[in-house]
Amino acid sequence: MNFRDGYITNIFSEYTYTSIENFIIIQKIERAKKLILDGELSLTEISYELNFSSVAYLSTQFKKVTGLTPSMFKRIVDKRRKLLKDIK
Amino acid sequence: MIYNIDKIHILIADDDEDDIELFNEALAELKMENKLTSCKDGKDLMDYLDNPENKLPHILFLDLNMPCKTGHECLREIRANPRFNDVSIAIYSTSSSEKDIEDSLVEGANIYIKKTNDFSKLKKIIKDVVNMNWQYQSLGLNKETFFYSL
Repeated sequence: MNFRDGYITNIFSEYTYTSIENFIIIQKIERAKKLILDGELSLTEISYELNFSSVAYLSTQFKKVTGLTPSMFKRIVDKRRKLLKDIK
Repeated sequence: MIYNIDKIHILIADDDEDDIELFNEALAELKMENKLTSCKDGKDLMDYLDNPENKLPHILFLDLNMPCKTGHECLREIRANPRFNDVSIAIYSTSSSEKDIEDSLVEGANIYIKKTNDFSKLKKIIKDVVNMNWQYQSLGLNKETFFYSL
């Protein structure tokens, strides 16, 4: 097939409302969120697992995407779960 | 990019009329198909949501400091009612304290936004919130962890 320049990236953005690069980062951060919540791996191990060059880079990207540090993120989920448990 | 989204219904609850006007103008400039409803305080907001004749919004922009009923009180009431599970909540507040951010997200807000009077920043914020909401709805991301601070 003979796609003109940028055709695929334009179609991709049209359907996902983000660039391919951003989409990959969002997906990686989603996986990092899951691994943080699982609580089995340290942040260093998670950065290795997800091919981030360092734990500092993972934290920077995490903060850039979510506006939160990984530890604040985990604290909020833990408190949310406790709140839900207390309500039930 | 967001012009492709189907008509999005945004509800804003804020006692400051100027803030609502600025929001309305920013939304108009983004040229996305939208329906904007506004409530003047927390009680007005809960009356709107509790009326089954009113269509629920996709996104609620909620101010924290409002008369009659505060944003925190509204947030807790909304999140305690499963009928509103699909409504994304963006807290829109002048406070940037870490405690307000954390408390709001713990209570079930999806996005925390520090209010701005910068018109172009406001346009970007609205666009980002709409896009984020769309991504979470359409990409099947985990709703439990759908929360951000902008």
